Amino acid sequence: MRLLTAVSVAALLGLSAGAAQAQSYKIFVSNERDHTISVLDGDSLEVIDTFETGRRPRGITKTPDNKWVLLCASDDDHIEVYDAETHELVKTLPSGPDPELFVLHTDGETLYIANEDDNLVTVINIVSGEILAEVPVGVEPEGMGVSPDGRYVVNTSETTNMAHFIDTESFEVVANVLVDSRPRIAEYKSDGSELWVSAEIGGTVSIIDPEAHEITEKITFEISGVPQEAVQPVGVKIVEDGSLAFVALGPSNRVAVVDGESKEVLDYLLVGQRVWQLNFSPDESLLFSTNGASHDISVIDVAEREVIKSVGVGQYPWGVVAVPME
Amino acid sequence: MRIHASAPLAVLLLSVTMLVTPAAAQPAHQDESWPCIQRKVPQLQPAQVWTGPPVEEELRLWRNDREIATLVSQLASRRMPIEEARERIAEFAEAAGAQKQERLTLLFAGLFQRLNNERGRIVRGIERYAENQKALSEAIKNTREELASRQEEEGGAPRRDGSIATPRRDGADATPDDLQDNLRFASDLDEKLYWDTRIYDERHRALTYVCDSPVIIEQRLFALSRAIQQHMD
Repeated sequence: MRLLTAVSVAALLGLSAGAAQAQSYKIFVSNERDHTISVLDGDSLEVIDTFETGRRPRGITKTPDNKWVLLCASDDDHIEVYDAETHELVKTLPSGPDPELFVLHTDGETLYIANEDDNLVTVINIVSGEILAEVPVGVEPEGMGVSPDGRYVVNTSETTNMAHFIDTESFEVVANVLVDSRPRIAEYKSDGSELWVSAEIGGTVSIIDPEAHEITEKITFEISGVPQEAVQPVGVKIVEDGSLAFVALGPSNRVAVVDGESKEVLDYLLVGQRVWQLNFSPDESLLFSTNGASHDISVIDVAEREVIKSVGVGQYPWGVVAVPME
Repeated sequence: MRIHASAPLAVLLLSVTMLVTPAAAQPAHQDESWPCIQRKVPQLQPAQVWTGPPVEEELRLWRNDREIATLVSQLASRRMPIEEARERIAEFAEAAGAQKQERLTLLFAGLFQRLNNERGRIVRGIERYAENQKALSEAIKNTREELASRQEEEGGAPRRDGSIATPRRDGADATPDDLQDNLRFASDLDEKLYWDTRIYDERHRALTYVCDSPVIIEQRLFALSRAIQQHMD
């Protein structure tokens, strides 16, 4: 219940001091309605810059070398590349129509982009800007995940309700798994043993065996006093060792904390309104949630499983990524 | 009577476009009569914005507490900037002393009920708004069909410059009075079509604002709840 306790303040200060000794970082948040990115300092957790982007910025990620921030400018039908240090626009890349989400392959150069209006996944090389392939998938593609070994990229289609496994050598769909209604996010465990797919309307997270292409378990969510239709799983993040996962539950305004092994829901954290996407700080000590309707991000202490701060950003924050700075 | 320069075809296309737009903009899983892109949520539940103690009892009692009732009224008003509301909540928490938990819970109950009721009234208003729009679109469709039927019967479109319409298809000459009556009637229909379409169009343009109203109230309730919870142990 407490949003800011003495313990969490101490934890926050401790983390800040630790972070200062280790590596500093920035947090980039795409603001869908404002057409901007808010930049927060990872130590102070305060907004240090806000800059304009293309129209309707949504999906956001970074390159492995931490030099570039990549952004889906959905209504401008392209990808924008920003310098993570200076926040200058480096270049734009073709994306196909209405890019919503993307995932960068483990090679650090091949970007898989979900084209929501075109039922395609467009594959580009972010260095050359060359379009490598257009892969037909289900209706309204959205979620994108890459297997840790880079063999597969998984796309979820909102209307077809499937997870499509795309072979990254042939750029062909090699398997489909039917999941619950309106799948939003596909997230692998770092050891590649499980693929977690959230279903916004179905209200579940399906755990898929990525080799057998079968659902092995389903996680459901029940929050006392909250109407079930408000429990809409979207963003999913799993810690590196697979022991803990976090699931954003949309208009229930909660993030679920899930045991990565037993799949038991351990806690529900009240964050902001219409919580959407999640991402970790580089050391995974903090988790950031974008809260679309309350126009802020929440900062969750991963170890304490506690919300320690909320920070106002732009209108309808959508995606978030933390980028280490040299 | 005013004769408008708008072409009947343009009016027809406009009204057809408007009739299909709300449904197209709507998620498939939702109540089809609900005109907003936002999901229809008739009532909020305390747990959506609150992790404190249960408030069933407090929802009945808060109005009996004059200080709480006055503060609820002030905090709920959007005239009070949210920063000022947070300061007022902080002052209230400090003044409550040892009773802080109970008093803050009672304050939340009052704010929740007040804003949830206000939001509920707006949601019902949006439903009526949608029903009116549906009735108006039906009226536009009927007028358009009647106008088209008249035009076919008269063998051509009524002229807007007051000249005599073309003869009937049976070859019989209409009397000047007949033709004047027909022209007047068609002009009345055209006038009605123009105004109904314009009203529909203006209401449609206001839809985004109308649909945002419950969201704005929910945002205020969430911000106030969060401010209250920050002062609770």
